[in-house]
Amino acid sequence: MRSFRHKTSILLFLLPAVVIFIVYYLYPVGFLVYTSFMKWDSITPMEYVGWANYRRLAEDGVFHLALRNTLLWGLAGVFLHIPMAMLVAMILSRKIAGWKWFRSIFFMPNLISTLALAMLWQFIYNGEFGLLNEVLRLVGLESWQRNWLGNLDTAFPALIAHWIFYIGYYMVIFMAHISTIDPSLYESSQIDGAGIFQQERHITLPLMKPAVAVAVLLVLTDTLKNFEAPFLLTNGGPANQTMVMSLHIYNRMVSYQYGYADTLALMLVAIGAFMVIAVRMLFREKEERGG
Amino acid sequence: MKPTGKKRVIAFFTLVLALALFLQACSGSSGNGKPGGEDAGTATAGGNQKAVELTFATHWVGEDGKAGIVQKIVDDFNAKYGENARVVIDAIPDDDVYQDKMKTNLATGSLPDIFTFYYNPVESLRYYSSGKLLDLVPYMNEEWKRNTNPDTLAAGQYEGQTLAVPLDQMITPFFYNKELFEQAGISSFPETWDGMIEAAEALKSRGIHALAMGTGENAWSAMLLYSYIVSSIGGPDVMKKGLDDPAYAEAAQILKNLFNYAPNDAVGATYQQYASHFINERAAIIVNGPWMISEFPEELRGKIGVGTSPAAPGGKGKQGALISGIGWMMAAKKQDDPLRAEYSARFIEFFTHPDNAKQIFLESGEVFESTNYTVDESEVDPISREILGKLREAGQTYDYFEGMTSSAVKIEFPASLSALVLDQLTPEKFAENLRNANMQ
Amino acid sequence: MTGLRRQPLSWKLFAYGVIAFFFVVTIVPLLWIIIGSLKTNNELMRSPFTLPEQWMFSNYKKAYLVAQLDQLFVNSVIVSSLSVLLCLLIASMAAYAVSQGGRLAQFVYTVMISGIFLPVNSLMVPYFLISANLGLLNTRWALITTYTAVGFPLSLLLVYGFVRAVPKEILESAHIDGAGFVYTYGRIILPLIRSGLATVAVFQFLLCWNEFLYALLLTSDHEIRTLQVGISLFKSQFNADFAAMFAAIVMSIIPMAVLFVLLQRHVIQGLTQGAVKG
Repeated sequence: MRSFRHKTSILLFLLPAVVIFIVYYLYPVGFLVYTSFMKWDSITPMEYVGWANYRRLAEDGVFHLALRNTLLWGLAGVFLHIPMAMLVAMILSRKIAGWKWFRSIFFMPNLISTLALAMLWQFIYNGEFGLLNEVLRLVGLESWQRNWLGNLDTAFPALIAHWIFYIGYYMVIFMAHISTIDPSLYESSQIDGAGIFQQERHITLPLMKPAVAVAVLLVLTDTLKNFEAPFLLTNGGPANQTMVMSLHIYNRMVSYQYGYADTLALMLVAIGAFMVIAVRMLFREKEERGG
Repeated sequence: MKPTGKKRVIAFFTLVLALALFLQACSGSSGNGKPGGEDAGTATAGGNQKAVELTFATHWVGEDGKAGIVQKIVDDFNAKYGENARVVIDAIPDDDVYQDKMKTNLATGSLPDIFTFYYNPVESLRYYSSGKLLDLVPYMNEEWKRNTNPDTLAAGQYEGQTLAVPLDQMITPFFYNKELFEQAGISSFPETWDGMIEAAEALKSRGIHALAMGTGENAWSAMLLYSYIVSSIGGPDVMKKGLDDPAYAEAAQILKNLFNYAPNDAVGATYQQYASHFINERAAIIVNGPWMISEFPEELRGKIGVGTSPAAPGGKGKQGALISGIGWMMAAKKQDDPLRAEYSARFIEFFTHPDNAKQIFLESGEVFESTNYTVDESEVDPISREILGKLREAGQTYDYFEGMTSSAVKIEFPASLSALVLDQLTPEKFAENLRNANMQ
Repeated sequence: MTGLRRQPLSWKLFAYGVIAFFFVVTIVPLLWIIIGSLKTNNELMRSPFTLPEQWMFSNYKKAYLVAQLDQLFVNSVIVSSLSVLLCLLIASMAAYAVSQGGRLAQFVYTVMISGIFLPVNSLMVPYFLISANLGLLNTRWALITTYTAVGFPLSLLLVYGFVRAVPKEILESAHIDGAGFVYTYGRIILPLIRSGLATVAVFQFLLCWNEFLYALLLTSDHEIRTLQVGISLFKSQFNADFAAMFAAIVMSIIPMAVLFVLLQRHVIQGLTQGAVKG
């Protein structure tokens, strides 16, 4: 009796979660798969078109750009954003003067609206009266001035740049992790004559690995979702150089091409899954090698 | 112990639920949640008579030139029909966001009671064929019919029904800064595209940008300029015949050349940015419509001249032509409730009534096409007067590109344009991209 | 960590150099926008770096009225708060259930956790249709339910860690005393995982507050509009008046900034604990 009641209670408590999961995760992915074989403008009935949407992926230049950019952004996140966060975390964890203040200041941008930040940077990058060009003029680098967001070579780097230096979020996570490291490790290595840089390399870094693994996964999935900045700053331009997957999907949606939008969305899900598996494999290898 | 524990948990649940429902109740969700929309707020006026509450979604709010007069019309309507119907404005300040919202609303059957959309032979068909629009024919009484112009009404007719009413005649001339022209020694608005380039060079030598435009968002002003160039080459009907005409590629070349005389931030510039260059007198010309007049500060107004289309060498378009076509259409959602349907139709009738149309024109300079009214020209502001004058003299009227092509093309245009300007595409490839997008 | 004793100069130079760089990158844009918001529009475009000739506090008044910031804040607060509550409730219930369950429950847990890595932006079309079919479009509930669903897997992961950390002895003695399932959940588990719930609350609140895409897609009515959507409309509302738009942006950031300064200990603590347990 008791066991039965117990089991029912478990079921009931799990129910809301399971319902949410089915409605908002399983069903949508299934929906994506189903509609990826359809041509649908959301007003008239769906029309079965077989693999046509998938064939279109191969020819769609915008998709290739969006894919490239989304992946590049992820890579920038892993190989630039996170290492910078680690660096600042390690420095601040050494409790230099005012470290608590800096921690708050660096975390601030991640707190305030990403849209507000994007709009702000749009004005910084503006080719006619932007802050960046003005700064360059003041330091005598006038030749470096350009229309940052409208230039084929600089648009995408500029787009990433407006986000990449705001490392507060991961910095705080890393600092939390570092704070759990036993201080005596540092003390004993200092006695052995190790300098600060050596201490960081041999003690802090290896012990941070699990946190880094989590951070890498988080930043990858986060950059896959990028929408605000490309939407507001460049609308995917110039010439689709800053197009990302989310924006491409959105554009297809407002062009009444729902079937193809869902095919693209499915690709995004697949990329996400691939990234997770890849990271998992990489980090498991590192652990096995005794890193 | 056990009962009280359970009770507390249940109490907690119910508290959260109650709080949520309470907030929902006073959240004022304008009842467009359900696809049918029938439970959309009927304000209780006591007894059996309930005043029907209708939502009018519009972007003519806030700083828009028509915001004041639109609100006034809504207030007047409510005063007139107050016991039976009330119209509430749902404000969506951004033109593009507004259009996208209406599109997605159409898709899910959650249209507002009354709304507007840009007339476009391709896109408007989606609205008409959806079966979700209210047929206005049963509500058109004698007075309404008398006040409307049957020719323009054709744009809103579909299979014997009248599903939308045209609102304004969209005229988009060239606004130019006469003072800046004088400074550069330009005596009159260029009459050919070569003349335009010469004028631009003269302005450039004085450190003034000739054209305020950008490739950001939907590249609105650049798109209008492109429409002028294409039509001047291919003739006024070129856009009615699809995207195969060589005029599209030829025009792309000229447009590309003209971008050399746009501000430095042109590639990627949003309307807010390039319009500000014109308003701050750093750029001399902008192609836009009369709604922009309200954005001009006092000092600028006296300097504004109205320019018309230059001609292309050997082109089929005439110099002096203007883009003019049906702009916005107003429609109502199909309703099961006869009262809601009737008052939705009444609102449309009221909004397009000659008296109100005249008010809108006087306040904002926008010409209402579907209704007949007369205006004493001295009441109109000088810029609008000049626009109307030029329109009368114009030998031809042109269409505008975005108004003749599909949503997919609208999205492709700025992307291809920025590529064209940055030498990534040849003019032929540019035209081809647009063609391809149109076929998706 | 070792303190400041005997830190070599090379280290100090390096450390402060790095910090200075990030400081500049963080502060300068914010400073620029604040100063810019106090200039006239003309002045803003002419000389970005100078102090305002006239301190145009009127920009702020105009910005507040045009942007309707009070409405925007209220909506964001309501949506975020309710979503946090819902998320905490569902996640804690599920976490407790899984901790009491057998292998099947564990399997369900693992499956649900995998949702963390699903890029939710790819689910635009289905989420839009779900809200439409539930009749939630253009209501705050569309956002509340969607946000709860989006943040749920991560919340579950975090809370589960805390639930499992509750010592078995406490649960066993409660069981011996005759405590039922729900009672244990309500009076024993919940209080013990308080800090875990706080962590989840922080994550989920941030998620909801900063979310843009679904707020854009699922709502339009200006009465329901959240802060993020409101900000995106600034460029249309402040047609050519950049200075006023800057003022609006500054005002939209201030509450979060102030809140953070006041609560920073808790926020960072929440993130810290979540990171350690997670």
